[in-house]
Amino acid sequence: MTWKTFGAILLLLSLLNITPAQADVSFSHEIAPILLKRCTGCHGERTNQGGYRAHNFQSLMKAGASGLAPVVAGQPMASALFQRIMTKVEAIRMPKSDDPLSAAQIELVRKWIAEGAKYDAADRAAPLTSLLGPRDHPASPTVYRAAVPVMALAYLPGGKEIAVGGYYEVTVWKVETGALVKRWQHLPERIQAMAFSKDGRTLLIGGGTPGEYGEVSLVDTTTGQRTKVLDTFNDIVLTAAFSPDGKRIAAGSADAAVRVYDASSHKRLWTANVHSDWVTGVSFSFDGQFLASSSRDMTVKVYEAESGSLYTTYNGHNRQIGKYQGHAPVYAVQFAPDKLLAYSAGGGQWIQIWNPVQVKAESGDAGDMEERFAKAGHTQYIPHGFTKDAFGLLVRGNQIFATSADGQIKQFDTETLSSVRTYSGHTDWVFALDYDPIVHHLTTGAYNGEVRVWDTQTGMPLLSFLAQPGHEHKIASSH
Amino acid sequence: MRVHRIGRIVLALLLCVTSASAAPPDSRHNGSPHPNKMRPLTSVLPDRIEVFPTEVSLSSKRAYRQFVVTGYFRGEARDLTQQAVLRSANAHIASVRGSRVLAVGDGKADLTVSVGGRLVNVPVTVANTAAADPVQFKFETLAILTKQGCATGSCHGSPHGKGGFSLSLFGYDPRIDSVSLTRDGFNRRLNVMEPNDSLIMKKPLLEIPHVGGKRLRKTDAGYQVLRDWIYEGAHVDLPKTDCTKITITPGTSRLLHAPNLKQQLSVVATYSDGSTRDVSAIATYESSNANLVKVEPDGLITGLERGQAAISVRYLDKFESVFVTVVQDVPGFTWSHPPENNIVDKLVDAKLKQLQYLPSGVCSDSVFLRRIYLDLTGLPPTSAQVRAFLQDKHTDKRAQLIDALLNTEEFARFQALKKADLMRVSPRTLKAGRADLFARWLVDAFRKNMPYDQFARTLLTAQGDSTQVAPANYFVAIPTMEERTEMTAQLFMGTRVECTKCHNHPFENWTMRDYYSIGAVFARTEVTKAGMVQLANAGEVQHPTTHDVMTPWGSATGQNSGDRRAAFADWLTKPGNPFFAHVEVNRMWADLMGRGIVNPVDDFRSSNPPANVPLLDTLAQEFERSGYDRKRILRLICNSRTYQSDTQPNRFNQTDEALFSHARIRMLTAEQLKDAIGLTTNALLPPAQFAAEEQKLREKFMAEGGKSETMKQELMRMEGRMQYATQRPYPEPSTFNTTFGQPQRETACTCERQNSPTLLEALELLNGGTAHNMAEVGARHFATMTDTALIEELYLSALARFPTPKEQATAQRFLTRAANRENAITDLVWTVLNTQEFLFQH
Repeated sequence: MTWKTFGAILLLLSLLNITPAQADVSFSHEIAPILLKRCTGCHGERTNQGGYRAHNFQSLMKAGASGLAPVVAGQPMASALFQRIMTKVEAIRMPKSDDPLSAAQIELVRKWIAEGAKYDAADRAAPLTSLLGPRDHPASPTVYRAAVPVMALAYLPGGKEIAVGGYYEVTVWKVETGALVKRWQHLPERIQAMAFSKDGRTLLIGGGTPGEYGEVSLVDTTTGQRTKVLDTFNDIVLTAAFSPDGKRIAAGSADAAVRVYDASSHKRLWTANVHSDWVTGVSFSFDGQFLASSSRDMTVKVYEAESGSLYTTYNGHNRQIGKYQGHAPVYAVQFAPDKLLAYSAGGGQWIQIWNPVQVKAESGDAGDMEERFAKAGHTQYIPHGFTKDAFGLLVRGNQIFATSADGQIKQFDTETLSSVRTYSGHTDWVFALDYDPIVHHLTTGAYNGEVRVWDTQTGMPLLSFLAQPGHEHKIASSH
Repeated sequence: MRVHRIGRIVLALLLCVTSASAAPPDSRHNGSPHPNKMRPLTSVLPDRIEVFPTEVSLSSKRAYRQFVVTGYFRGEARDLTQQAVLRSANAHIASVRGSRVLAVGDGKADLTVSVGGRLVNVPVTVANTAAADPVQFKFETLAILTKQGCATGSCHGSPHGKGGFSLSLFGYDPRIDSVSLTRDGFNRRLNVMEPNDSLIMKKPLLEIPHVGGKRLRKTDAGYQVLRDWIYEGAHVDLPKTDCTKITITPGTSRLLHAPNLKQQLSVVATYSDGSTRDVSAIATYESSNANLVKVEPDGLITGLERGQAAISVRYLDKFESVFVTVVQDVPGFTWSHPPENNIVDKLVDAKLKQLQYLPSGVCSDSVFLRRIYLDLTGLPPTSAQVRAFLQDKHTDKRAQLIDALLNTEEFARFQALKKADLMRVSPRTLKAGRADLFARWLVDAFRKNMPYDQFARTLLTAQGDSTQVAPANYFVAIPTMEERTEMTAQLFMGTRVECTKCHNHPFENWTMRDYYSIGAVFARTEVTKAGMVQLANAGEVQHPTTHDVMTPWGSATGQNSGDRRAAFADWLTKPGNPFFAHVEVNRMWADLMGRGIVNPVDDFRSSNPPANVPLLDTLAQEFERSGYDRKRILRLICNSRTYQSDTQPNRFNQTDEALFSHARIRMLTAEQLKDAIGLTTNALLPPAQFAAEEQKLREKFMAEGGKSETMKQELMRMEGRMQYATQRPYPEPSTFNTTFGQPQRETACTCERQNSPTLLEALELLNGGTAHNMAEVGARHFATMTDTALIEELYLSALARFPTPKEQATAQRFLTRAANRENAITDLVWTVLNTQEFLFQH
């Protein structure tokens, strides 16, 4: 071969070696995740070391107390942010007192600045978390190494199968045998709320990753796929529900927000940020006129479901004086299925039953405050008899079911308000429950991963299994 | 070409990475022991080596032992743990990491420790490594939550937690923690499937925003403990077993002499089932002064500067301190061999010599005179007394003066004032003459130098009609069980136990049980509406959470043996009691020296060590031996060179705050200031003349048949020395006194008295009515003298010395030039009252 030929071959090879032109670095998809994971812990909105915040693009570009420009578009080496992430001098390297960013991450940042430090979203002040969009969730392990707490469960229409919130999935079990029959995967890490549409074709789920991410989504029950993410929140979604006519969806989060969506268009209709602590339960009134939200802030708030405007606040769980004195978080609220009446429970000794219209009327003014505080008002009280807080509450037909951290489930009659029976057997906190009135089955789920099925006509336990794929038939251990 | 550019970048990054890893290892090896460093020993080899432990038994998969290697160099102990090289004969049985041995597999193996040219053999037995060794919530996880700072009072251990997450303070109630970490919060905090994804891992690692900051690093021992605990299922079993004690090696005190400034600690916990565990990696270490001595999370102490500090070790509810002295050679230091008047000087000097401080010289007669009068009687000397003392040629005149002052009426009253401050003697609480009665009794006790044990016992066991039986008012002033517990503990035991009302003491071994056990001593002491202090037949104190009936503190048997207060007083005043004598001699020392050997004086705890342990111990023993004779101790201290030293520091002691190498400049107290101004300006009669006036009035009163009510009131005021702020039984409310920090007598804390100078005080003296009015009174008195005489008289009364020729000339010139003589004298008096020399003891 001649040198010329050799050279030509080399040229050809080198031409083939040219890497294709790459797209510019995307701030929202590539830079924002790095900032969120490695920077905003110290440079967030509240905690902002050195007076520098990086929780949104606008702040990121603004100098902190040092006055040095963090990012100079097109000039990585002139950008204080880049200098500090790539320096070898440990005393000034960022993230401070921690492992440095990976070489790949540093390069991404360099490239992004070099390409002009562009922002590829609409709102420069939008929190970085909102840029990330809904997460893609991983597949669940085939076998669970440990049992995860059952925080939500729901009967599939027909009453033969029960859906249980698992780890990044919803597991479906046969009620008769406790066999695992379906696994709907790639769902949020924790499922805290579940509700089936009336036709059974859609499952509404609320959940997320505590402290970081909340999600309200819809799952197609025929395919088991997540079809729509209605919304993302800054903290885990603890509760979600359909309106009785199925036209609307409400969700509440640990970030204290309550949001309502149109079930068909999936548009967000309104947001309310009136709670000062986690929202633990949501429920629509039978006629869809009101929405109630219970919260760890010891109140239940009632909104006009159409507009989202606050109608009234129920303070019965936070009484200073009188017979029903007590200050307790409210963990659940349920509107009655056929009339305007709300049931709420949480800490304290009673399930409280009240009418929002009368609550509003009784709110009165300062003039009769003392009198009002001393009176119980129209509220009715069922002393539930639990020795610890009540977490689960369900009102179906004329039956009330409540679950507690003391492991018990109790059933009450809505007319007489008296106890019908107590279901004992769980050895850990019971958070989740569902009831199928047609087959007269009650199913409950507990912290230790155990699911129990009961016959509500006889009170007999029918089945107990561990909702732990790979270990279903193991006896649940008490932690 | 792009390929080459990328290649260059990669190469550059690679170079950076490799050069970074070639950098010296991170000195923050938190949690894992330092890698072996063969530092060259000094040329001196140790006479002998001590290796702790002498044998090792590891009985679980994760077990380890921390070694402490000590070398003795001509008697001086030095820590050689860092230099020692540990080798395991069989790495399949036991492995070495730094100065720790770890279990690997069952069997026996020898470990050799080689250091200082010697080899020590330590047999190691390992067993049970096949069995599971899960992390124990009660003994490991909780310890880590304290170690990493999660469960402190300013974070999640605060009464309402933080950010909605609540832990018990330093893990004092594992039941609360077992719920908070797991089921509380809708299972938010743990992820048993993926432990690293748990909120309680991500937050302290700062992977998501955490207001508490970065509290956990991947290299911390706690990281592995938490992670493994979650991985294993986050079980929160609470077995009945408890930790009974922790044993720290090498012991409770250590001396570090530069350049050997490191000391490794080993901490072993013993449990109620007889088992032991090395907890060196998970105990919490804290220094009482991180500028002097620091401690790493793995228990390695480093002395940084000359001085003393306590390293506290906390594991679960056990708390112990190691007293560390750091000695560094000061260039140019040689001991000056100053005279030692008595045992106080000997002991103070021993400490100064050890830490290489030189004491200052002795103060002048004039300074001594003013100081001793103010300290013992509360009043400054009169000009006549100053003249007499300065002229006196006797070599023992200072000792004579001390003896004389200890026997004055003023001394008794001034001492009573100090105790009355702490015992809340006030007409507000002790009504209908009780305050006067109680105060009179206190004065009488000090006048006749009642032995202090008798003093304490009389108060603690008093009963009867409080309008007749003066000491019964001890209980009338503090009516509730809590007040009695806290007052008694603070006054006689020098300990602030308020914290333990609700939980175990955060900085000491005091527990809730101790608090309520002291409370139980007073459970049957009741005060009727009429003020009758009597013992009831029944009455107990129950522990607020367990509801156990508490055994009264000090009672050897059960609850029903007579007056439990007597049992308590017996315990308190028995020679050898760790509190009683130490606390009182420390108070006396602080009153005279301006700072206690334990500082603050009512904060005795192992994590707040005395600045000079032998000094405090010796004074306490002497106090006990003398039959609790306060005057004896006061005499001893006042006669020492230490007490009589100059406030001027020298090159070798100007940084000393705590070791008494020189006297402290101290501001006069509010009462002293008030009286000093009064005496200087003649608004107040000197005590001798005052006593004469009192006698004259008494005679007049008797001569007129004892009927005049006004005279009777005036006599009572004079008897109570109400005119003197330093002599009266309870304070007179006045802006002046409050401004200068007079205590309100609402608590037993000496901290009620504000001793630091403030802006308000300066303004009060410059512009306030008291100073000005007194100056005018003084002017009228001085106006009767010639210029020269009055200047001399003013300086002698105010400053206990003659004016210098320059001062004389300046004052003279001022008076001569003045248009209005009396105004000028007022100004002169006011000026002297505002000098630092007047306001401070120096």
